[in-house]
Amino acid sequence: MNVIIFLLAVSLLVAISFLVAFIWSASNGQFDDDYSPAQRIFFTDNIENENN
Amino acid sequence: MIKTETKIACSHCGETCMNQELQQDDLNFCCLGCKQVNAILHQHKMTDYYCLNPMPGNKIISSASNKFDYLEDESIASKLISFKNAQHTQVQFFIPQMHCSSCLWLLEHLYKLNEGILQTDVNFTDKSIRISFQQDRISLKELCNLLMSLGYEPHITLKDYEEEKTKPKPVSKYLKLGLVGFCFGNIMLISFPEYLGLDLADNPLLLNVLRFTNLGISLPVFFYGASEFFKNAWQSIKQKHINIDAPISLAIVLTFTRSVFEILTHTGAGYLDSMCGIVFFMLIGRGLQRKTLTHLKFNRDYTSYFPIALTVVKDKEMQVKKIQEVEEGDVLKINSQEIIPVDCILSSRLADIDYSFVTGENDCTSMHAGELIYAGGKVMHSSIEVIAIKPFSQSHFTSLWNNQAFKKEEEYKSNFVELISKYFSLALILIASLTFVYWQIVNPANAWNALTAVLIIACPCTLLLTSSYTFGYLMEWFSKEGLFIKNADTITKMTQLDHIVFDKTGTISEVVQPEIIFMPLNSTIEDLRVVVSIMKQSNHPFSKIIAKHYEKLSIEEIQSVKEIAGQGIEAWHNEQHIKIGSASFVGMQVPNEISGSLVCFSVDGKTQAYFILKNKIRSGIKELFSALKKYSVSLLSGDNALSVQQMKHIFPKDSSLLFQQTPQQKLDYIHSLQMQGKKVMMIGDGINDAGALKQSDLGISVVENHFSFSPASDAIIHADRVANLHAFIQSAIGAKRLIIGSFIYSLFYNAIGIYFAVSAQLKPVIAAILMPASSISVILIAFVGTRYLHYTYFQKNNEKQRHDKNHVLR
Repeated sequence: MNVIIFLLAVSLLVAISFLVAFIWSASNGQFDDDYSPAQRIFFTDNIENENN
Repeated sequence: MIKTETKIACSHCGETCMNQELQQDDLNFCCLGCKQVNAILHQHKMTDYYCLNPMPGNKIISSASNKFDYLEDESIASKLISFKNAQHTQVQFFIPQMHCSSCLWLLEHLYKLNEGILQTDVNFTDKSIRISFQQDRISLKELCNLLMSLGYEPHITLKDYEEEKTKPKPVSKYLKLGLVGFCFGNIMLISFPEYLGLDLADNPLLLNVLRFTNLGISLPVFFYGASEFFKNAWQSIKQKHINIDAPISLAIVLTFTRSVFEILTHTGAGYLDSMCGIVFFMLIGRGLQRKTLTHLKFNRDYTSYFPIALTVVKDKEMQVKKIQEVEEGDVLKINSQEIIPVDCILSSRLADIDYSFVTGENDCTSMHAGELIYAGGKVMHSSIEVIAIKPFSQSHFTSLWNNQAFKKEEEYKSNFVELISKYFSLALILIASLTFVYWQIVNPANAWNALTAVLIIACPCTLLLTSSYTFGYLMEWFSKEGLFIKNADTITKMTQLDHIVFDKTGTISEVVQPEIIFMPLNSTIEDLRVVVSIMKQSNHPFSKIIAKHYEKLSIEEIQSVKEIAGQGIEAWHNEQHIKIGSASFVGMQVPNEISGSLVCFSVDGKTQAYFILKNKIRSGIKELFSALKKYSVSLLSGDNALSVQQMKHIFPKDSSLLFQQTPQQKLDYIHSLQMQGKKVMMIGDGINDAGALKQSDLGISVVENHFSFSPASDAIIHADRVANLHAFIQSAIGAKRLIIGSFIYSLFYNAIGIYFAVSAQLKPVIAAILMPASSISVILIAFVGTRYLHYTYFQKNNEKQRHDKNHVLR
């Protein structure tokens, strides 16, 4: 049964690594603007078409 | 009726084109500005702008070309600049006109227009833009002029920049939520073996590891996640009243200490899972409610309306001076379209001043040298020179802002949610102490256990949840319908009103010159020409409007004109006796049911005709007043009494209509209503209503488009949605009922919980089931309930309108 303790430690480690990734992205401003990133993806396409 | 006239929309901004001459290829433009932007974009091969959205542009409003001259002043410019080195400069602007992906595209491709611009970063949510440029290729002033010429004039107020620098960088609102959610999920998961019956006797090591891990994970929730509840509670206690956060904080602290105690003494697992869950749900609710509309500013004061700096002429040299530093006796040069910031004396020969900014009245007055000009007037046509006679802060106009109404801190009034929470908490404490006494007698070992269990299971968390989710969802619906609310308290205030005050121009009527309908009866065009010539000589507002309307008619010289105050004009011309004025003065019979102001004339008492002057009333206003029967209403207008008749027609019979009100008088009127114990809502647009909006219990400012600026208020409404006002109030009242209803529902869960707690058998697993069950059902009620409210008060209406429209078309 005590293997659960080991599993708990491993799973927490994985979970915390995701948490750290989230904290980093949130404090890096990745959730600040929810409109423009989705729109920008269209822009480059149009310019390439123009060049062709 | 079929309108044959087709409206041509401007290819740039989509406004109706009045002028047919501004065509190019197959494109139409409403003004020269729009045409120029189009040309610039074509020249730089930036026509993608038009491909992304149809007619995405902003109408180009002509402004003085030297508007941004003050940016040459280093001390002002340095406040805007966030970074600067030898080669480049970085600056941040607020651009409220940004509204679609085309705007985004154009602003991010500014580098194509000027090679001095290196990069632009747009934050669409904040409507802000960060530009890096090479200062030796393009100056800050030129950059602003470029943006202005494209229709994206940056809005610069130094106050915003100063605030920006002093306040720390805000932590993302998702950070706390994510962290607490993480802890909540993990604790729930780790608690599972215990829910499923893992006993201390079975495996003490494993159980203790699980419990201590939980304790560790719950620490960030308690110390970081829940800290805002503690802070709010502490603040309210300092101000000697108890808000809803106080009992909640007490419950959280109690739950945490009891859990720590149980885990340390190996007597139980505590209720950490329930605690984290409730904090998580409450944080989401708070976030929903506080979802700030960052691009809307609810606290603008007059300084946002004035230019930042002025050109001062000193010893024949031009100097830029900040507006606050202007002194008595300074000679100021004020450009066309700028607002005069101080009381001053005109030193140029002639000036046309438009006071619509102060009065709301659309009227231009001509001034001569030596005349006194009050602050707040807008200079028309050409730039002028004036001598300041008072510093900025003491001007007639700004003195309004020295009124008490602007100084009082928002005083705290507890709303109905807190009232309920007070009684709820009292009842809870009573139950808890009775339980304690009972167990002291029966079995003292259970006493403390039962006492804390009651307080843990039945905290007013659900009350907070139901109110914050309901208000949060409602605010979202309101903003979809064009009403932007500053905070949730505003909704509560909407349910308590009993008097509504309207402004006229811009709120009830549209901001345009009144419509003129001419009923010629038996008169000829020759008669009309003579009448207009007479009116040209009169100063009465009616005459001015009619004369302006018939500008194109050739005017005759009229010799003998006599104006009789309050009645009309008499004139003799070509052996004819002409009378112009009210129906009784002219002596003619007119139909009674005319809604508008009448101007009649007669020639020799035989030939007769009349004009009807009508303000363009927004559609749905009349229906609005019949819906608002429960409330008393009044009208406060800065305009002259020109439209008295028309307004009487629209307003309910016993409402008071006041005209020619100064901003100060408007404020005083609201105050006098409040003295009678009334809860007053004020709806107005211009800065002339600013005082009244602030004084009122609930001020709503009206905007034509969502990026225009509005005076400080509790809410902002779209001009074409004013007619829906009653629906908004009804939904607010509905929301209040919804909150009370779902709170009563949640009492049912509380009753179950209290039963277990009182009988001292509250197991963590029961708490862990009850807590999410009650929270989620309350959230669901809020979600479905607000949807239903929206449907009953808006959707049905909209569908009906759509149906009517279809019907007409077929």
